[in-house]
Amino acid sequence: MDFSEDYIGAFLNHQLDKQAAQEFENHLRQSPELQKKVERQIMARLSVEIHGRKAVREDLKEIHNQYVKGGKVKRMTFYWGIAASISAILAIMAYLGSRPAPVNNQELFAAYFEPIQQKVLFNTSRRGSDEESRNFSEIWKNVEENFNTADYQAAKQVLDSLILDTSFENRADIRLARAWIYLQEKDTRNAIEILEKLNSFSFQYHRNWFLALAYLQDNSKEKAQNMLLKVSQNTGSPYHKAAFELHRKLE
Amino acid sequence: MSDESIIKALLSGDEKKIREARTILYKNLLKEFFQKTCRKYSGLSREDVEETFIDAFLDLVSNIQNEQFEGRSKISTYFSTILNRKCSKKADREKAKGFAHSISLEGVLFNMNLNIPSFLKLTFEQEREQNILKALYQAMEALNDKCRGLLRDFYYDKLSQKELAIKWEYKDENTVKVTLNRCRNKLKDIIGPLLDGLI
Repeated sequence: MDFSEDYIGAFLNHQLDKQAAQEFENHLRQSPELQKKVERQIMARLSVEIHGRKAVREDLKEIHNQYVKGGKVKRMTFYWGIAASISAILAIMAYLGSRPAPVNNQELFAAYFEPIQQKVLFNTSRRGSDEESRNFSEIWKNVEENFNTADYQAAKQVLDSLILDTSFENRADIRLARAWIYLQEKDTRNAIEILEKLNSFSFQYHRNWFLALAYLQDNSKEKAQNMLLKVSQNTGSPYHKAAFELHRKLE
Repeated sequence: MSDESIIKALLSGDEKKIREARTILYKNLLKEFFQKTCRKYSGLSREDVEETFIDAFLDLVSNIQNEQFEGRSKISTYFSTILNRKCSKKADREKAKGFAHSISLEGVLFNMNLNIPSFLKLTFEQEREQNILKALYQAMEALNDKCRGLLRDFYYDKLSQKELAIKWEYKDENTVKVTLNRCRNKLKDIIGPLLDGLI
């Protein structure tokens, strides 16, 4: 019995009904010739898949590099490169009996500062009157979109206008998002000012971690250490391991 | 973009929407997982993590498009499971052998979700896997642009024959069907000699 390529394709794609598939499988079991035909079709499909994957892989690499260039991964790569070089230099200095160079806070900051998890900011409940709540949801959706596309300039403008609006001025999510952008822009003082005033139970883990990083970037080592200790001791915090590690590096 | 809308876009068969959803999803997962993964698997080089990350992402998209992902968990949770499994495997291989293959043919085949009866036993010897991969890639490269594009759009991006007729400016779906058949046969003719002695 001769089966067309389309029929074989339908079998491979699970598109035959149960009975037809069973009959085809019986033929296949008994016919080495048909097996070869099916195998050739599978290899052709595999060839398309591998080629397709490679093309998408190139696209993804481009996205990867763009993100890395515009955002933080590149800096991390760069700083990790520096950190590796520093480690090598330290090793040589130790070998020569010299004193090691102090740890650079900026490099540590770059290694640990990362994009804020969006679910933290954008899954919060909406408060206020219905209309107010609707307005806010609308605006907040735009901010989420800006974070999604890493368009922090646009997000900043909306957040600044929200902070000035008396209806929303006390919302912790707005302030946390704004502080994170300040940190990303290396405007540490403003970030610290917002984070120190932020007193929200829901955002305490994130507030404490970013405040510790802000102190670090500001070279306020003692404050950074105290805050890191606080974060590392709270095992409920998603940052407690990183805080423990960073605290040890600062010692 | 919510999980639901990403899945919808990936299944839409619309090339533009697929690409857009893929880009957004990749950026989101990159932000959420890349650095964490680098830290977690410190035994792997950054390039290794990058390669594995992309592989895991391609598996994720493929599983969504083949409807193997049932949406019972969040996409990010599902991705994180694939990524961790791949990174662990890679780390183990690195430890054991000092090298790792970036793609496993059986893994790719598994993700394609084809109905392959077990008695066909399509297995690939590991030493030959890279050569087979290369041969399969070269076979597609040897096709002309149109055939390559058509096959890729149809099988990889899952565009329908109707959409292919519009995109590639064919008269109708029947013409697409005939051309697809011709291209597939060409590909099989090229693959045969390239794989001789490899499997």
